[in-house]
Amino acid sequence: MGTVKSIAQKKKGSFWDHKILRELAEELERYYSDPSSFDPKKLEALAFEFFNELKKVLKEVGVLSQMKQGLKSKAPTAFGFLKKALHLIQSDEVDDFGLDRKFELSIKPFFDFLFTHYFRVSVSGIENIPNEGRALVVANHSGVLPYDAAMIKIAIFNEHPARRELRFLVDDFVFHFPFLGILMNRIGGVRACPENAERLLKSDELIAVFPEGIKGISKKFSDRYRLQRFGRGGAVRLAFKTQSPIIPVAVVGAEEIHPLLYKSTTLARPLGIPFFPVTPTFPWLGPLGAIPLPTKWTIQIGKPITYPSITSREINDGILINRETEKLRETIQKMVLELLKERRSVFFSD
Amino acid sequence: MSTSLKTEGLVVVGAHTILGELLIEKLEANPDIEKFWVIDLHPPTRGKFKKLQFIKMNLTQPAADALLAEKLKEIGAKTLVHCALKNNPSHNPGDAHELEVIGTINILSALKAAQLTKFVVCSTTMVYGASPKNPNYISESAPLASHPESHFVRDKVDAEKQIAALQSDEPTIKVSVLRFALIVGPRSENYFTELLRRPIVPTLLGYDPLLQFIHEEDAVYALLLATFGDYAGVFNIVGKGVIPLSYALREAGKINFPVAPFFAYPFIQVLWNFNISSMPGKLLDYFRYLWVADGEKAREVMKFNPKYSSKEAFLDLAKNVRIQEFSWAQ
Repeated sequence: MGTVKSIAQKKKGSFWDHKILRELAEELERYYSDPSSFDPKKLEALAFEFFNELKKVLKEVGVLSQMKQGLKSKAPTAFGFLKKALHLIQSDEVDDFGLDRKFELSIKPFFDFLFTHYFRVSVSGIENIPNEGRALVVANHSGVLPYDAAMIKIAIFNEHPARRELRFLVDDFVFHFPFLGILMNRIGGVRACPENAERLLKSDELIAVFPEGIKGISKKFSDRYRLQRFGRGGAVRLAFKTQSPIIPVAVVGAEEIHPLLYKSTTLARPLGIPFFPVTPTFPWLGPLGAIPLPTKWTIQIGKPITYPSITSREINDGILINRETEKLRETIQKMVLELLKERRSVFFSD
Repeated sequence: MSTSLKTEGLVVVGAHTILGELLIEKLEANPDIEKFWVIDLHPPTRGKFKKLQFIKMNLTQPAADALLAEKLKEIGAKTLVHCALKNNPSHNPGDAHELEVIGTINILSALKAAQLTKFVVCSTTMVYGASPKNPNYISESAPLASHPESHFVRDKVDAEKQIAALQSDEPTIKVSVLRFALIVGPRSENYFTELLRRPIVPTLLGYDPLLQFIHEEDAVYALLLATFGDYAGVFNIVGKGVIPLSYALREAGKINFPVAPFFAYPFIQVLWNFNISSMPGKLLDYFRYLWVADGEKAREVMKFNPKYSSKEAFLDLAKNVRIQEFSWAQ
């Protein structure tokens, strides 16, 4: 176990050479290629060891202490922690759509950790994001929990020279939930509806939409990287209406973080969620099962697509919108397939 | 903003809501106006009025419409400003319903009979309903809340529907509907300002909605603009920007007491029944979800630019609450 300490001291990414992680990853990769060889007991044992390792690594990297500093919390007593947790989501200064920059920066270290150490996201084509002005980022959606939105946001914030703020449109059901609704809102999410998107684009913001929506994050593992229908063409209609370029983005790696074996709508209804996920780890391992698998991610940002200005009558032309939407879907699908061709391993960067 | 023609035959219904009170004072102070009429059950209590002609009338009595029409004809009324929609939820929803819905219907029939040319209504943005399905800024064309649980909101939606019907039936009457955000200021007294008079304010655990306010001075200015100008249609009258509820409570120096929504609704309802809470449990949705309205149309069409943003309006209220608390302590 002496290795753990050396792990953190080594360069970024190299701690993935650890024995348990490698074993776990190989096990999963074997399972991905041949589902019949699935041995839940072995995987469970490996997963537990992995979580223990992860806890130590987290401690070593110092994410938690960084976050604590960000929140300026003192010695954690039970009451103090509760108070902090309640005050965590209380904002001083929010913009017109509820984004709280201070809060955003205080939880950013966690997502930075995911970005650089956990998912080891490599980003290409960042120069395709304009330095200023409105643009609509359209990406494929996957992975049960929307980590892909967070990673695209971090990618643009960390790697783009203008450090642009990305806002994203979130499905309404999120805003029914306590805490989750505020959390999403304070880090830049707004409810996905044409009114909000139009208003944001008109004030020259950069916004992300995932036209696959719930269908995207709830696709079964066997359907991975097969892009679903792009809603009802809302994204393209919006681009036409507000004359904003669409920037296609392909995310590879997010599909495998929570391999969805089965989804239950019966269990989901009383909980008020769109589907109840069943993965190799969830709900079997309880809350631990909600930890995403450490896959290696690639985000490719494509060339902007601009649309000619058209009359208001043509905006209502369903056939035109549908055709353009399908074209966009094919573009992103092609980008995803090309990235998949280049990828040699689900978990390792080499 | 004032043309001499429009100032004749001005009738205000409702002298005891915040907008009614402020409007009457502004009209009294306006040198262009020689005379105006006020209809209510009781005469206004604040200040002395020389130009004001008070007409005592109960809008909910049987045949109130015929009586009102007669009066309006008699005084040669041209414009009617309807400020009688309540600011606060009532402990007697039956009476409130009679006043808000039946009273409005009576006013509308009298308007038609007396052939008035202009009708201004003070409504509220609460009619859109609070819901996670609302866009962040609701425009005037959005549908009204379909089945509001609260009597307070349901009556207002009902009254607005009657007014919308009038708009399409009688094109000769210019109807302006002003939907105000939460009105705050040193003189405002409503369920929200009442909330701040308590040291501990219960909130919903896990929810922190963005609230929008309009200062009472801005609100009455918008009302005057609509009364003297020709702006038919529906307008949201709101301050710029939003503030989170938790921030508002901290600025006012209140203790935020989060309660799980499951318990909060019955808990607040019981407090309301005992007259401790300033609002019934059913209004809690307005402290849970979004109901922020878009003021763009009023800015463009009416050229209405509020002096106070939502935050400034709220801080003005918070300041006054603190002053009052201090003088109580003395």
